[in-house]
Amino acid sequence: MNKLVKVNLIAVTLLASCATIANAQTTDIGALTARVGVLPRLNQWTLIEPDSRPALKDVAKLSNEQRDALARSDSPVDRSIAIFIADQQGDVAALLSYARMLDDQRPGLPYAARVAGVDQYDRSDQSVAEYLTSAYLDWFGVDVDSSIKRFERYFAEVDESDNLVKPWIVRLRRAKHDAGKTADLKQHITTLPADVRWAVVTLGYKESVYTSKQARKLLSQLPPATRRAVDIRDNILPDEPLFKINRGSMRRLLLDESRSLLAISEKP
Amino acid sequence: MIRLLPIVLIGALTLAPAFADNLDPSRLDGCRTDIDGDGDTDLADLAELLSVYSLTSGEPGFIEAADFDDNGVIDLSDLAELLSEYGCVGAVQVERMQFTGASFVNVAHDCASGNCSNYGTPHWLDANLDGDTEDPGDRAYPAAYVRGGYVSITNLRFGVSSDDLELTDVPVLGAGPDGLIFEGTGSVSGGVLTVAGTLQSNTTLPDVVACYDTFDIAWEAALDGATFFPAGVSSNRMYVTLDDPLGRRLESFFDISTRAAHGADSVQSAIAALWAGFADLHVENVRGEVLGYYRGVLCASDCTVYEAQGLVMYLNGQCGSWADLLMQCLRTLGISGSEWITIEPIIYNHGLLVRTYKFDGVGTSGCSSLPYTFNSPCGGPYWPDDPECTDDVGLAGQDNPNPASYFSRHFIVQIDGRFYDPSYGAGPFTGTTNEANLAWEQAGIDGYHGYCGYYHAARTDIYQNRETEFIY
Repeated sequence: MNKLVKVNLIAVTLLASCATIANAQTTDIGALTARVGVLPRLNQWTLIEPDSRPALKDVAKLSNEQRDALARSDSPVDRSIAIFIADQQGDVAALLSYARMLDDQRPGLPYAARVAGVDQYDRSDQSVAEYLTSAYLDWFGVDVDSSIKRFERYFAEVDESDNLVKPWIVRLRRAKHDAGKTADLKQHITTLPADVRWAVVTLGYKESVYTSKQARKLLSQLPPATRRAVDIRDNILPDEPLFKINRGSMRRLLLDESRSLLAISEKP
Repeated sequence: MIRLLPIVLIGALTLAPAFADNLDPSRLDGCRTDIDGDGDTDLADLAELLSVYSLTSGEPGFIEAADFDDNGVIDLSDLAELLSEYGCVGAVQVERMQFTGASFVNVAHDCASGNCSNYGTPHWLDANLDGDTEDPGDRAYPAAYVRGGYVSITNLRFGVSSDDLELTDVPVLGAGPDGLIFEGTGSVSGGVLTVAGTLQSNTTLPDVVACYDTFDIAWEAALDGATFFPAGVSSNRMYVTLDDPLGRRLESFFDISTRAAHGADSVQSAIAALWAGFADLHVENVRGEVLGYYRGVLCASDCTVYEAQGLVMYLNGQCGSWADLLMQCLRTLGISGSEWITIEPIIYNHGLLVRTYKFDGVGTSGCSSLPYTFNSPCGGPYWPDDPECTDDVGLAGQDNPNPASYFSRHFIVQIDGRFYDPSYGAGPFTGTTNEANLAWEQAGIDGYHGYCGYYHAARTDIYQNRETEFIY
């Protein structure tokens, strides 16, 4: 298990002993969480019936302490809500720290079903583990299939969640209708290590959160060593879960796309 | 003589197998009329004989094993001999066995909702030792393995003709597909040959996805320790996946995915082959029932199947269930990372009109954003005059030339940056997300609908503009 997750799991275990304190905190939010009857998967808010959205918006504003108190609860409903809050907050480290919930096969809150009909909404049952699996799939692009073993296989070498590529793409996706937030995120991305930055920019271009002009410019500003590594398909990708899946197909796709963009940028 | 055959056949079909609970010691070397070599004489052998009836040696198709009297022609005497031995099984007959091993994967029954239970063990059981698994109490359950793994067998037992035999160190041999050989040693006591422990195949499964309709293992035993004689055939459906399967591992997910991707040896080739199985708009569950997209339904709300689990049971589903089916098939093959994508019009509160819609007239709704009068297929209110926007046949979907086409949204699947629309067998759409989005829209969207005051109204799609968005 990676160091980051291990530390957080230890913290969760220690804090679980402070049940009285946690209960005191959750008492205030009990009424709020009781209003939540359905959760969106993959941030698909439009699948939630309009009447159910305000409660979700309210609960998403809970503090980190209140969220983690819900995560420590034995209630599968509270745990589901904690996952939802961490997802909405984009708190990747918190989501990773909840990995032990992958053992929780009890029914949690249902998720908004994939319903196409006009003015039609429905709900589908899910376990806590399945909901956390869907959150990991969204944020990290990997399917841990409700298995701590699979989680550990993917995340064992993750030390710094801020340097994961996929979460930056998810943040940019979710901010696409907020120009200010998008600009802030893109500014932050320029400060990432070069071996992470090129992958974020390339994947971002592929996902249309960067234009080709923006992507070419950012890639052309990479250190020569990074550009050369991309060009010769060197193993420069961070050891992130997304690039471990499917026997390297995602890695190849990204390198091909980046080489293509770099080639365009180098034309006179 | 040929004209007599149907009568003879009818007579044969009514014959009950002669063997029920006593294996015949004189059959140690098997049944003389076992044409297909599966350890018994049954309907399959009869059918095989009839298929070559009257052929003479040297003619194309002649089967020497069916010429029991070696007179160079398959004739009435051969048929009579087979019928006289009909129901024969050998002196040793496989009774049960189960698959196991590091690469073994349980297959779950299809079920409409909740957690579906795995098939139990043993995977093969011929309780009355009549050479088939068609009787009450018998079973031939499916199993799955990951490609390139060893197949292992445990709980292997045979019925033996004599209750009095007491033997040890009896060699047992099984010959499976693709050169897989299973070797073990058993003991005979009380009419049962029991093989202790686990028999691992001598070699691994081929390094490709596979669907074996019948993974036949022809068993042999050497009661004298040296001479092997037929001991029946165990026959199970076997699925071989690309990697460790994910998800609920339903039988239909295995069947659809491995059947389509049979022979694939990489993620890319498996995805391409699986997709070809969806793109032809004909997908069957494990029972051979064709799955449909809004079959018989024009208002989406009249179909409430949103997930693959329900689709393979109820045989009809919304686009969400088809997106889920593609993802579950990918997961079952062991291909990770597919995501479902929601597609909605960029304009809030507008919905999708999937091809084909006709727009006639000048647009008299009174709403500039939705100029054409339109009546919802899901009910009123209706415009007093004939609407200007009307539904026509198409776009064809899974097993349906004219599915529902009036939606709030649509669901497709993304994997490795390529977008697949399984409901219509459309795609993959490639390029950047926005490029793929526009290509999808151009392939299937005729217009958009929404409310114009009290009534429904519609507008046409602007072909060169992207007016929908992929949400994920």
